Amino acid sequence: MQHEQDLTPAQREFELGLRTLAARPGQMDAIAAAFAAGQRSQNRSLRIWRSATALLLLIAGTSFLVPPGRTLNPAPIIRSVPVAADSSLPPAPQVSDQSLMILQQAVSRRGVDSLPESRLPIIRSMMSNETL
Amino acid sequence: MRTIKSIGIIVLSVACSVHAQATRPADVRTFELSPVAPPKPALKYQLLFDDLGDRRPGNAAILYLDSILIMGPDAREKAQKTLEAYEGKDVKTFDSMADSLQLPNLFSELDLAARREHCDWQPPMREMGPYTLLPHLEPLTNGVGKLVKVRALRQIEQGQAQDALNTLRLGYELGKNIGQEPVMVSALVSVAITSRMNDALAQLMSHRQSPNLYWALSELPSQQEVFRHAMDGERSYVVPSTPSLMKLKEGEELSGDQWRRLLEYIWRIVDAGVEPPDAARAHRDPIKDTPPQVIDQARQHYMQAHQMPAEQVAKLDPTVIIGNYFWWEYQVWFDEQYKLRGLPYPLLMAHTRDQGAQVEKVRNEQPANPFQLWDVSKSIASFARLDRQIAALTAVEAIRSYAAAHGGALPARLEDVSDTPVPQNPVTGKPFEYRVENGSATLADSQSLEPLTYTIRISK
Repeated sequence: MQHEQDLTPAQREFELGLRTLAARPGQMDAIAAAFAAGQRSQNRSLRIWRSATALLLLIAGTSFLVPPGRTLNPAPIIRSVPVAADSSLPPAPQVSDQSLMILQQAVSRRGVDSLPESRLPIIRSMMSNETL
Repeated sequence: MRTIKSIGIIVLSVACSVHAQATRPADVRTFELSPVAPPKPALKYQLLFDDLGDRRPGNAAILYLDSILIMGPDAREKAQKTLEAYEGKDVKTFDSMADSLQLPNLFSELDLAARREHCDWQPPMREMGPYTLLPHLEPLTNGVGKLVKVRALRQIEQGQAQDALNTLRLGYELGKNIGQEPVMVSALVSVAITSRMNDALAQLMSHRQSPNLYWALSELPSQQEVFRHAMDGERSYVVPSTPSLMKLKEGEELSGDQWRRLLEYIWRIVDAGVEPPDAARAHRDPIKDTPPQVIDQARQHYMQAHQMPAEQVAKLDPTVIIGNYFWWEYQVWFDEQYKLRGLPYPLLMAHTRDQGAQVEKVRNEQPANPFQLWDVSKSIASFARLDRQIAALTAVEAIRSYAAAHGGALPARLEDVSDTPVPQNPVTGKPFEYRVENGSATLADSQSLEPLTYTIRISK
């Protein structure tokens, strides 16, 4: 009350005006509100289920593209190792005595008779019953 | 840099100078001929199969590779020993060993191969370049080729002239087919095998039951085609198998490091098989070991080729300048040799001899230049010598034909032989030297480095 006595005339007038106001009748639909609340609460899990289904379908689809016998292993860890490789030149394989360069040299120095001997395997006849 | 057509190598190949063959003894033979006219039909006997009538589709190379396996590893040594017994006139040993080398499966395979329409060895030269493996060459020449000769000589000895001709035909086909492999070493193996068949054929010609083989011999193709084919291959494989050279071919530039690695790579090829291995490794620094005047020439060339002022060129890595010059010079020299390959032997040999001397001079002036051409003239001599041998054998049969038509008389002059014309000596481009003395005719080439002398007598 102490508070009321402190009001100015203008405030008192505003107070009276407020007292004349009446509350409007309520329009809330309890069922609709409950449905909407439920719908909102389920949207998130629905999106999760949809995403999970799509992901499973994707995995199932791509599994047909993987050749039989291959397993999908995790990618190996590739470590960068410095190598002394020259990409502009072919790698130098071990020089065989049957390589063109060695044969050319042999023939140029000592003639065709000096071709290095080629190692030949011994073959034997195979009988048909040996394959069974 | 101008477009490089397609450059082959280099180094070893072109030349395969065949040192050993240059020092081989002269071609000396003696013939005791029965006076027999050429057969009718004229091509009753042939040393190669007819292309259309006798051949079947397929690749002969596969069957030749099979024949190496069928032959087995010890047949080479046996064949060599058998031929040594023949040369040593040890008839008993020869007969016994030759009979143990009948090998019917091998000869069936060779017959199939010889009748194939084509022979493609498919060497992976574009991928592997000078590292390409050719393990079939040695067993084909030292094994299969010698076994064919052994069999033919044995059949000649037994008087089976037709069988011997059939066997020799397998050998001539083998020689021709190895010559299909487009590389000089294979071409020289082809020459060796064909020459071996000629040795046996000369024995057959002196046999009393031998038919006159004039038309069969005159049909044999020139070996110059084999040489030409080999040169094609030599020109084509090193660049595709060497990425740095491919870059140059496509007009790209190499850095100094790339040039150093490329030069080292080419040296590795040049040095392959050098004994002892480090013998040829000295003086290989492209800058230190290149004389100043050559470096100046290299700079001048680079300025002109790249339209670049001297100050700019002076700032470049000298290895780039020298590498470009070495490579450009190689291309020039290679084409100088390559362009001659279609000339007749006398011109070809004369020009390449001159070039060989110049190439040698350049090599001495540029010890750090690995792009070396070898003296190709000695390789050409191998092909020319074989063609001369075939021409001389043809001439012998021409003389026999004359004798058959003239009661066993020898012609006084080669020009007198008209029905079966005497071929010229392909090495000189002139007629063979010819003279008749004491009932013997002598056909000769005394002017060449490796002379030829065939003595011919007509049996009564």
